[in-house]
Order: sequence, then structure tokens, then C-alpha cells
Amino acid sequence: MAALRRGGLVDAVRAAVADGAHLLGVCVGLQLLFERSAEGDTPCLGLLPGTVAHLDGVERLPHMGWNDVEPVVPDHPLAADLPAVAYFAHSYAVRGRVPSTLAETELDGVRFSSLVGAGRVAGAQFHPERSARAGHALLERFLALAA
Amino acid sequence: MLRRRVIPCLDVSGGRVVKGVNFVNLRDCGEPVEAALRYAEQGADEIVWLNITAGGEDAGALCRAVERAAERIDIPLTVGGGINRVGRVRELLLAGADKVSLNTGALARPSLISEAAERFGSQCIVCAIDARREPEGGWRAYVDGGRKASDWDAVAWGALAAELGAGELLVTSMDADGVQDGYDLELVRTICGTVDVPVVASGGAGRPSHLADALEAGAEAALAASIFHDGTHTIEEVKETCRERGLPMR
Repeated sequence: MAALRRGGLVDAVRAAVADGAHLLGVCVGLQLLFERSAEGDTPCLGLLPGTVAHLDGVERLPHMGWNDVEPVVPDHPLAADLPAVAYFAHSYAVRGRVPSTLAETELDGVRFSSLVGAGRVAGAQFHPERSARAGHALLERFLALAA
Repeated sequence: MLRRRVIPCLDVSGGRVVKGVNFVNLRDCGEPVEAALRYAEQGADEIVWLNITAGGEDAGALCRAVERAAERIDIPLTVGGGINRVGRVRELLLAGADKVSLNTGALARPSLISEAAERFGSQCIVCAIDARREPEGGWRAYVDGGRKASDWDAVAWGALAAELGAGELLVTSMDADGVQDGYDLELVRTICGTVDVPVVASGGAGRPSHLADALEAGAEAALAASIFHDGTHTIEEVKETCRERGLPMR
């Protein structure tokens, strides 16, 4: 967030979304969409309601590797290809469900929102660019939505 | 459920994939970008790319090669070899590496791990450890591609690296490397029991059951080179063997 603020990008991103741009946040990019993050106790962009917390309760962190992405809102266009297995690398997440949760992921009994979307703003806690076919599918759905 | 990973390793020297036995007697195994693509298509869960002529090669050329591979593959890519400052970590991440692996540079100056983890996050900092058994028991961490013993006990060093912010340990048994007689499972168990970050087991894979053994011993991922480069076994064969033994695979 400090880097975004330094570059004047916080206002630029908010203005672009308000102007009609579609936004997809990936990994920490998803986390920045919310109100606040426990990582460094930082206020974020506040485009989506909810907060980011540490994944306490998980045996081994970071959560590193391929895990299930299970649909919560299966009829949302971004969730159309779910369930899928995607690549994750993170120690913080939006735990549980928030109003924008489209899909969730479980790890050692801890559940978190792994795909979120509301209006023109969407986020993936996993890396679609590194999730082989499952990732391509999500990116195509996002581009179709944004077209 | 989190899947266990199968990782082909590309040891790259002079722009070519090479492989040796116990870290010496290198032979040519092809072009790295092509190999990375082929393994990604075959179902590899990640690619590890280690520049093993650390320091002796043009850093810009390595970055460009990594960029070509990162652009074309759609699975995670870890890059390491000869990295001794945060600026190099940044360059490789910008070139498209998902994770950067530190080894000799971190043993020479452990704060390299904390500096890199603080700046880029633990999730992209791997600490690679080359471990060799000591005559009186335990393992010692070696540096400079296995050419020189460090002052560190390999397990104690792994614990410190994780504490400093390394998000993953890539542990290679120098005794088992290239011999294809199985991983050093005692080393895998000991390291996994000591740290709470994911551990990648490396060194010794000769057949699919060896990788399953390493995963059962607690490793989150098993890395192998020769068996894939030589075409002795495919990634899918390894995964099928692991599935038969009840391990969760992608």
C-alpha cells in the first residue's frame, strides 16, 4: 500500500474503477481491495467490505501449492468453471465469507475467500497466471465480463 | 485439500540444462526454456531453475532466459543460483520468477533472507540448503555448489532461515544427489519436524516410489532431475504412484 500511495496510484485506481474500468486483483492484489490488512496493520483500497487476516491455525505457512477453489456463488460468471485446483502462495487471507465471496478454499480446517467479485471489482487469492488451465479459464471469464 | 507437488529441476550452466552425480561430472540435458515448457505441459506442479555456474555467468543473460521461460509457462517458476543481494532478487522477480532461491549468499550473510522477505514477502523467498552427512552424525550445510563446507549444521541453519523469513526450504542431500537410490529420508523427516514452513525434498530420486517416500516422510514437494531428463519416468507416472499410496496430487 505504501508503494501505491507513493506512486499516487490509490486515487488513480479508485478513479479508474469509478470511471467504469474493470479491476482484477491477484494474490496480495485481492487483499488490497479490502478495507484493512493485518499484514503491517495497513488500511487498503476499501473497494470491497471485509478485512485481511493472518492464516493462524494453519500447520505450515505460507500456504504454498495447489488447492481446491470451491464455488460459493456457482451461477456467477467468474465461478462458471469451478470447482478447480489452483496455485496459491500466501500467509494472509480474507478468512471466512464476505459479501463479495464467490469461492472459498480450505486448509487445515481454516476456510478463506479465494475468489471475490462485486460489480467491476474482482480478486483471486490464487495465481491465475500460474494455475495452468484453471487460470486461463478464470482470466477468459474476467475478460469476457470486462468486454 | 492442499496437493503435494512434483517438481522437475533444471540445473542450468552456460545456457544448457546439465546434470551430475554428487554435484560433479555434469552432462548436457537440453535447452532450459524448452524443457520448462515440456514439463509444464506434462503436468509438473512447478519448475525449479538453478543457475549452477553461480557468478560466472552474465546476470543479464540469465534474466532474459528466465523472462522467456516465465512468459511461456503457466505454472510457478522458482529461480536460484549465485544470488547475493536484494537487487538481484528484485531483477529475477521482475523477470517473472515466482520465487527466488537463496543459498550461498544467505549463508554468507543471513540478513539477506530477512531483507528480501521483508521487501517481497516470505512467499517468494526460498532457502536452498545443500546438506552432507557428517561422519559423527547430523548434516552440514555446504556452499559454492557443494564445493565448500560452511560453519553451519544444516538443520540448525534451516531453522534460522525459516525464522528469518524464508517461506520454503529446498533441501538437497549431497550424498544422495544423482545416485538415484532414493532421498535421504532421515534428513527430510528431521527438517520437516524442525520447521513449520513447507519443505521441498531434493536429491536421490531414481524411480517414482522414491518421490512418494519423500512426500510420506513429510515433504510438501519432491524435486527430481535425472529421472525426468532421461525420460526414464514421466511426471504422470510419479503422480500415479503417489495417488496409489493415498497422497493428494493435482
